[in-house]
Amino acid sequence: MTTEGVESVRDHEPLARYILTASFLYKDNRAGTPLRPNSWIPHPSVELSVFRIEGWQEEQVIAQGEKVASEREAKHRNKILGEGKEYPEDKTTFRYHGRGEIIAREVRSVGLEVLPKEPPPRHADVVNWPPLTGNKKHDESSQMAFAMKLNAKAHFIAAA
Amino acid sequence: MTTTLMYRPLFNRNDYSPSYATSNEAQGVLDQIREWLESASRARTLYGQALEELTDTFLDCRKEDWDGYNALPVEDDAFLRTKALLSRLMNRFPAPTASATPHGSLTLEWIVNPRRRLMVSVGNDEQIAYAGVFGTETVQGVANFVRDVPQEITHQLARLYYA
Repeated sequence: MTTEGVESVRDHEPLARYILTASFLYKDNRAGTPLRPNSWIPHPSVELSVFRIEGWQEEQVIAQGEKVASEREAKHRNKILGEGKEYPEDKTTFRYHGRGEIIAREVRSVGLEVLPKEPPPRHADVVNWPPLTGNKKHDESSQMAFAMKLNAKAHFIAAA
Repeated sequence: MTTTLMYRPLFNRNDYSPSYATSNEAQGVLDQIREWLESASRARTLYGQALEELTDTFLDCRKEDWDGYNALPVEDDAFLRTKALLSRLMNRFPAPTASATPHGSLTLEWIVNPRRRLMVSVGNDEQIAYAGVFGTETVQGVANFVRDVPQEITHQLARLYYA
């Protein structure tokens, strides 16, 4: 759903998919992007969370990524502690590893759409994924196919 | 120069007579066997790396929300089933790279180049999902994996590497 009062996403806008786990990166030194297609799969919802970064300085883009990571880390820490388990002060599960960047036009070229979804400010969702069928593996294969297409059109910018 | 090639079977050792071959052809056969053994050894090493990566991925992704975006956990059955699939593909195709999906599945991925690649996703049940890119063509589907590698998967892998 489009957020009311927010300008729609234009074709030329760059979008950032923040990567919070190294599990979405190839660990060898292969040629090409180190970002795995899996990072573009929208499960469990059928919206993929991205940020609109047009006009931002590099520092602002990174700051937003670090903010997202720190929010997820705080949520995770509170959950673990809430279960009565230990979570050492110096432990970090989620951190900003970098981002996959893709132009909105490229998202649309594969048959998906980008719609603003605020709050938080500048947040958007990649939508129009194939409708869920109730067959988990069928849905997964469709999403993987789209994720591979997105990954081929994206590039990865690693955290410093 | 000639070479003597002695054949000793690995099984039914009590029921064979040694075969001695002494010819240039025997040298050729010996070279091919050595080459095959070296190749099998390399494959075991590469698949060993894939298995190690698969195990690491499983350990990293077995808790809910492992990706920070509410991913489902990878369960023990998914790991065992992916390991079984990996072992059945050993020596038939190059070793894949392993990862996980937010669906709580493990994936094996074969990449020739960014435009030629195949992903296979294995979860807790018999169905496995696959998706691939072959230039401008995209393929996707679901197959059943109980014991043997599904024909769809071997077909796509053969297409990826040998077509």
